[in-house]
Amino acid sequence: MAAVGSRYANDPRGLETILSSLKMGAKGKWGQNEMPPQTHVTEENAKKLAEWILTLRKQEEPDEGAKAGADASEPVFHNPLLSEKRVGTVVEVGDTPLVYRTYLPGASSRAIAVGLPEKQGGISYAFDANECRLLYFWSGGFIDMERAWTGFGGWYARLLGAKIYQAPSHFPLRIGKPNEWPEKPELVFKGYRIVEGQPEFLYKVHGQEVAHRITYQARAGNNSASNTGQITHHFSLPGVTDEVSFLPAKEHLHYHTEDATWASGVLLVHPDKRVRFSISITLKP
Amino acid sequence: MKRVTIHILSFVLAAVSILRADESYRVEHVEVPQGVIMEVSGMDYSADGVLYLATRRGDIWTQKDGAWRRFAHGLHEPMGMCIGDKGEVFVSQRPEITQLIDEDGDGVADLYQTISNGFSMVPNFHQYTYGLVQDDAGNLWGTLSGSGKTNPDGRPASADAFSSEPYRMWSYKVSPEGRFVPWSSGLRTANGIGVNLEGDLFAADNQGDWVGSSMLHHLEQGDFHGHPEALRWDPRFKEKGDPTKLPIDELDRLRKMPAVFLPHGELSNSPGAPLCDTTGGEFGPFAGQLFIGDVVHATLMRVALEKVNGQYQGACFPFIKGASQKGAEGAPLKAGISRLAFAPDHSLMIGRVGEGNWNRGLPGTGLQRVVYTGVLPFEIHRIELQPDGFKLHFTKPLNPTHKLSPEQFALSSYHYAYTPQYGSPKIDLKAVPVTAVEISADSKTAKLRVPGLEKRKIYQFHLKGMTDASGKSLRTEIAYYTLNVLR
Repeated sequence: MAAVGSRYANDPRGLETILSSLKMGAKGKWGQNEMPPQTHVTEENAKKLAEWILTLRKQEEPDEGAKAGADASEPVFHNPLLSEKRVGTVVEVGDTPLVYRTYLPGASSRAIAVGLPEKQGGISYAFDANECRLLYFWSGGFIDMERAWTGFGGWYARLLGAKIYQAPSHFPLRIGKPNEWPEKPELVFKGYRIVEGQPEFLYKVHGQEVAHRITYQARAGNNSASNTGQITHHFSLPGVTDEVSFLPAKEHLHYHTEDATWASGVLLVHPDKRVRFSISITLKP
Repeated sequence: MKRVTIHILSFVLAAVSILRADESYRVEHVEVPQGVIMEVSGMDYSADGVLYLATRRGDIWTQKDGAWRRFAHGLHEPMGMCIGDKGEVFVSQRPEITQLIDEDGDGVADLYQTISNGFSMVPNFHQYTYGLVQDDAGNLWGTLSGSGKTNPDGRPASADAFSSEPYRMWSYKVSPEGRFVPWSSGLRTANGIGVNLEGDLFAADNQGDWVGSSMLHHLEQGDFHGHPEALRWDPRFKEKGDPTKLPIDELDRLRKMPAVFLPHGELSNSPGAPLCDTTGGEFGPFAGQLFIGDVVHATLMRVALEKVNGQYQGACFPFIKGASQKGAEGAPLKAGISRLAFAPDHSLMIGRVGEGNWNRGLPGTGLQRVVYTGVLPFEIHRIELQPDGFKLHFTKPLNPTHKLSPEQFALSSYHYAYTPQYGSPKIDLKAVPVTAVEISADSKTAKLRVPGLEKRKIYQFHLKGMTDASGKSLRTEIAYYTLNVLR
């Protein structure tokens, strides 16, 4: 409320605005919270209340200044202690990758947004920690956390850009005979390790440990904002002995790998590459 | 509309409360990195004195010798954190309980290891994953908040909470092997958890539907704390259908009464995590008691429990009431208090959340601390229930030249309604006569005779005109004793 006072303190119509908000109700002035009309407040008391709200700013402590400012027009800051830049609630990737767990559109409730710096492709992707798989890539900016951080919070991050790749909806790895595989494999998410700034996702599929890194290579000569790069999955399956294959998308994509060959519609990983292999997908221009 | 009114009123109450110019405790401002919105949602110290802070925006900060460093980032609205006995950093974030490991020793976490995600969650602002304390056996403990009713676009649609999936509204244990154990049920939204010297677990629930006033619960396995939505996930209720349709009388018999009520509006609105005074007297005369802050009020509360017939009950007191005034002694205590921790120097660190859903009353984020000056405060130390009244224990002898009369112990009783409605007024509030006062030989206890004590009542004390030997008045004249069972 002191922030309300601060916002309207130097506004000649401030008193009127607050009065009107009290009488008519208001929403959207302060995030998504809604204030119903205060019809139980008499005209006279409403004026007193509004005047009182305006005086509140005078009681603010210096350290509240950043907070009040953040409400009015959120400051741009690049704290040397943070690798990213937060412009209000907009998160921008700096020199190192960002890994943000939040609610993401088109993901289960356990989702992870990864933003890569320019030198690593300058692009973002979503990983699903329930389903242990890549969901999609988008290019442009990273995310806006407004609905997660302000108002009541706890809502989806907004992607700042356009999706350039949507992964198929199945878990892509098969261990053992692909046709003996259950429709819903047993997956346990174990977290992620930051390796050279980028996350390596850790999970177990039917008890087999998997470490899964996802990288992006912009096509030479193009900048990262184009959608013609190459996505590479790097898998490592320590100790695996059974045969391993990768199920591609139903639609035709350009897969590239030195570690596997096509067999009955799947990429069958060479026996000597099962423990560590990579599969690349070239995005069509 | 009712809610907004309440918030305005709470604010007025907070704004007019006066910080006592205090020779025993002073409040200090603690600097945090500039430009960082430090919404403290978890706080603990490592054995080597490093302060770890979790923020609602997903960062973990460390501070050692005044130098700040970001230890981790990108956590999903963490609402709890603790440092394990081997220095492990555990965090409770919305989707899971996570251990953060600095593998290369550069002061920044490299491994975000999922310890347990054995509960369900969906995008919903109210589904907080609160925590976190560790017990001697290495188990981690926390609570899961109920869902909030939302519109299709995620905006809150009502203040009511519900348990949309397992194990919302339960407390939980996570074993060292990562096994998730739902522990006790019926907590609406108990923001944080604490453990006392005996190793017993406590969490403070927030006033709302089925929660007449904020309250502190003792969490034992299988307890039902009162919000019936949670019983959906209790196998003992499988056959009973919709638990919210059970008769209120039956639910009232099933529920475990809170160890203490934290009277709404007067002491509390949205309590944070309880913290046991483990300083052994370095923070004043309250070793073993619990401190709790409030997110809306600029209030620190103190709780002194006793066991009657094997169950915790006891008294709560205002400890420091702040708001926006500047006191004579240091900075004013501010609102947003969600997490507490004792610093290595035995000062009480205060972590303030205060944005988003936590931005009620006087908003604010960052750190303050309370320092004990070493001047023994004159206070009611604890209240002990007697078969025929109460025994008040004071921190110092009472003025021997004062003759005390029963009128100086203004006593009243009331209770809160147990209904699906949001909150409750004081019900059956009435004055309770004190018929006799007996002072002990050492002048440190006063035994009040109170005929006709009733169980399931809150006894509200207002002590008037009492002084210590030096003529100094009581630091806190108000106390509330939650009487669940008679002695």
